[in-house]
Amino acid sequence: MKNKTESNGFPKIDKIVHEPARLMIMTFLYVIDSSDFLFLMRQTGLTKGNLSSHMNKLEDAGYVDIEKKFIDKIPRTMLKLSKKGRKAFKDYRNTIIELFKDMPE
Amino acid sequence: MNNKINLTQIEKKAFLTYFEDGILDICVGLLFLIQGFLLDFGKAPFIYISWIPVILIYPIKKSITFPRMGFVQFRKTKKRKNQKTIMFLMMAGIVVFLALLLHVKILSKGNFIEKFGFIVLGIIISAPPFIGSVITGITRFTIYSLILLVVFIHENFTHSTVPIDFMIFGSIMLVIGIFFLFKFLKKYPNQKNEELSHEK
Repeated sequence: MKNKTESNGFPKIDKIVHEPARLMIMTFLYVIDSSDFLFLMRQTGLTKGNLSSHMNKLEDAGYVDIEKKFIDKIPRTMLKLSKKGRKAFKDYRNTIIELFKDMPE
Repeated sequence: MNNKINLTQIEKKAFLTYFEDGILDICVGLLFLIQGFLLDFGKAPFIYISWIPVILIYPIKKSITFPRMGFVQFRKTKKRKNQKTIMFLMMAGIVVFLALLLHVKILSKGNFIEKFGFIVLGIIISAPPFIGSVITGITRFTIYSLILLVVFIHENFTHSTVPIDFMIFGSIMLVIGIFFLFKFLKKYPNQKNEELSHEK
């Protein structure tokens, strides 16, 4: 990451990952290898339109790869977290951990 | 929101949704039911027919579960880890069991198998669903495993008929499976694939 902190010294949070629905999508994609759109919709509980709009944002950021492949002779569009996406997810986690590390109970 | 949810639980949740459909229960239940019928009517040579429902599990899942639930591929590393754990547990279980059996047989100098044969068979048959339930977290398979064990213990001491026990056990699995299938069909209505692909 080029700028790990804002100008005021506050850690820079990746807003693409930080949005709750996208964080949920990325979390699901992080723990699996790949899934189709329907599976992600079922797991996240998001509507088709909502999920599609968030997927577009993740795709534009280069965090999600879309692969068209044949599984059991059926063409499927599989969604997968890209290397950049995995790194962004890990960086986000580390930033949040770091931010709250010394928080008193 | 449950603050204690973590990545492992999310992965487990994603994995377990594939068993919410009850298809495995229905097919294995049918296996026992058909075996019970065939044995009861003296058609033991045709016992291979009972395996047809088991062979059909994946094709049925392909036509019922995937169009409703979607399709997922789990990480290969996790899959490999799971397979290794399953194999290790099964191997360890068999080795321990055989060692125990040998030990008891030596101690009793003889007719252990004649006396407790059905219990031994019950342990062998109920072990796979139990190991499967421990690994996957599908708790109802522990219950199936216990029912099977109880059936065989009962059989060992009462000498009732095995086919009837198989039919009762198969029916229990079948009913539970049908209940899960109805719940699944209600929860996840069929979706047309073309409406649901992510295209920009």
